[in-house]
Amino acid sequence: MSVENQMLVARSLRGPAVFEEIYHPELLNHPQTRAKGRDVVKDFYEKYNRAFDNFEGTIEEQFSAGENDDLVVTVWKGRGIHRRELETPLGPLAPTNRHAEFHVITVVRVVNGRIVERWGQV
Amino acid sequence: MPGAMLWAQMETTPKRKAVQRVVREGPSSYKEVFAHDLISHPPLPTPGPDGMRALQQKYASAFADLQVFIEYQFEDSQDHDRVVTVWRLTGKHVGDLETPLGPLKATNKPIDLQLITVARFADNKIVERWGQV
Repeated sequence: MSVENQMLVARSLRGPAVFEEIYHPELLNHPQTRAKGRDVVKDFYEKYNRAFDNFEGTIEEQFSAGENDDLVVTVWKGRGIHRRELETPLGPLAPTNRHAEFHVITVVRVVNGRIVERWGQV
Repeated sequence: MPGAMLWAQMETTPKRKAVQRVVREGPSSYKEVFAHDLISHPPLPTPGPDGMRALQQKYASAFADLQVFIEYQFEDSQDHDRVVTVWRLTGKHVGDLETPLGPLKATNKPIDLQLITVARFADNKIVERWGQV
């Protein structure tokens, strides 16, 4: 199952068009001060695409985890030209108009072929 | 790193314990926890345990009253050599914080931040790490 789970997470690179089939509608987001549901993930996707021109995400590292082998850990690399302000939990990051690269790590729990729980730095 | 931890429901495997020492014992544990040729993604200003100390200093100077909690730890289920840690940091943002996307200016406001790191072990030490900074 773990290879299928990892492939499921990789498919999210295709963007919001596939989010409905990948994420459970009641997606539990951590920290739990965040709202439930997949709109949280869509908002992150749109936020980065707004802040960066030619935004591109790739997977640097990926593995399955957890006692039940139901977690997928992914190290993402984002890159693009930072053109507009990016909102972060620590306030706004001003655009530099330069090419930038950064890492994001996510952990998700997959049940019956859908992501039901998500931890993310963003 | 000055801070407290949530011990509730914390399963203590040797690898999880090693990561917990970073919080419980602070920089004095780094030489035992991290390999001298530690590889970091993104790279640290200086390699090895000294680089982790520099990272700790960076956070300590950006945040006053910094408290570090470990909320979740997971082990990889294939090679059993990696530990994922979900951290929670609270404090007050009093100094600029350098990030790969430029500086985050001090706001003098309280922070409540979730960070995720991955540590890969060999011979009981962390030989490779991934983080956002």
